[in-house]
Formats: sequence, structure tokens, C-alpha cells
Amino acid sequence: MTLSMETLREIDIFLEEFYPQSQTAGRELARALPEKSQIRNLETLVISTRRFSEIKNFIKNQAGKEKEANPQWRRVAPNLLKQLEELENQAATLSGGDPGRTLAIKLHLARGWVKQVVANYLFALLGQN
Amino acid sequence: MTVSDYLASDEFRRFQDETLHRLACQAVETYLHDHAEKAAKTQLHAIPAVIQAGGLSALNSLGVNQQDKNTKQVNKKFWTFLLSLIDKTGAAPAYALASGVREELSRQGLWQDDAGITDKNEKNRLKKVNQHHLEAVLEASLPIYFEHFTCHYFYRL
Repeated sequence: MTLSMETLREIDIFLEEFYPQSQTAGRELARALPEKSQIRNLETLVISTRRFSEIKNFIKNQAGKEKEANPQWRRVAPNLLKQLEELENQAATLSGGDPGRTLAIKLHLARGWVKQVVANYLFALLGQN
Repeated sequence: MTVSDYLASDEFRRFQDETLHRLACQAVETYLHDHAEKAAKTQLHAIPAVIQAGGLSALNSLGVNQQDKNTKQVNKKFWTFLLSLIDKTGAAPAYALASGVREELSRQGLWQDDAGITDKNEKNRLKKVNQHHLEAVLEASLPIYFEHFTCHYFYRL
């Protein structure tokens, strides 16, 4: 589904306002997960998936398979899932209830969000090294 | 709308993405709340492959088999719970897959109430149509519901 210019503008405005939260998520990820490949996997999934819930399931799965002695995803998963829920709520508001628009807006928001998170993750890693 | 149209629609995609996610998470939360002793994550490992290989009937067979062969009470109870999620008889809890699908079919006008129909032939015909719709949407929803279920279980355990 193609989103209107007006909707894309609303998405951009929302993502601008959401930026500080994405920044926090990126920094938390840098502290918890210094291994870049895991974050690249998340980024690739968000960009390629056609189903928003697959992103949530990926994070839960990563956190769930870790050993208790060495939690990495477990430390960041609650905040990431909370942020994704906020994106989902925003999509519901912007879509006016239309299912196709809701799904398209959610994915658009998620792709914008992950770009912000990964950029801040990489930048935070620079500061750590 | 026919059931094929529905399965190809955005409504169904949203049902998979949101409703099934909510129901599966609720199922996990209920299981964890109601059972002092929880089944290990390993119990869930076979579920996706079994669903992919044989759908609902294969999952049902796995559940029955695990329920019968397991010597540990904790695992037996887990599989009893899991079987309740795919129970098609109408006795399943609200968070079960079959209940969610039935409710969604009603919302989409694909499940018709036969309570007021007195003609036996018409009643049987309606039952068959409803059953056909239920089976079709259940099969299509099964992998996603259990993806949500297993990921949430992994995360919350």
C-alpha cells in the first residue's frame, strides 16, 4: 500500500519527536550488545519483514534463548518492546482504523525507528572503544 | 466475502499481526500464572517444525503423544494446556486459537449462527460451511499463533 504524502509527513514528525527515545535505545544496546552483527540482524529483519510482530518476536526470541548468567538482549528487550508498542499505537492513531494502512504505517515507523536506533548504537560504540 | 478473499485480505494480515499476538501472549501469561511449575523451553522446540510439516492434525498428534508418554507431571500439564488452545469444540478459553478464529469469523460474516434455524438440512449445511471456514482460517493462523506463543514463552520464562 502506498501512503499519502500527508501520512508520510505525519510519520516523519512523529519519528522526529521520538528520536530521544531511539537514542536511549541505541545507547542501551551499545552497552549490552557490543557485537555489531546482532544489531545488523535486527536491522535487516526490520527492513525486510512484512509483519510488524515478527520484530517483537525476534527480540523476545533473542532474549529468551540467552543463558541467565550472561544476559544481553534481556537487558534491553523491555525498553525495545515498549518502544515498538508506542509505534504500534501511533500507527493505529494515524491509520484511522483501516487495516492495510495500519500495517503499512507500522512498518514505515519501524523502519524509521531502526535507522535511528542503529545510528545511535554505532555512535555510542565509538565512544566506548 | 468468501473465506479465500478473507485469507488474502489486509484484515487477515492484521488479525495475524495483532489479534493472534495478543491472544497468544495472553495464553502464555495464563499458563505461567496458573502453573507453579513451568515446562522447560525444550518442550516447545518441536512445535514449529511439526506445524510446518503437518499443520493442525500433526500438532494435535504431537500434543496427544507428548501428553501420554511424558512421565513428568509438569510436561503432561503443559501439553494438556497446549491442546486446549487448538480445541475446536467451542469449549476452549477465549485466548485459545480456535476461539479467536471463531470470533474473527463472526466479525467478518463468515460464521453464521444456526440457533434459529429449524430446517434440519439447512442447519447441517450451515454447520458444514462454518466448519469449512473454521478449518481454513485455523490452518492459516496456526504457524503465526504458535510463533507468538513460543517467542513469548521463551521471553517470559
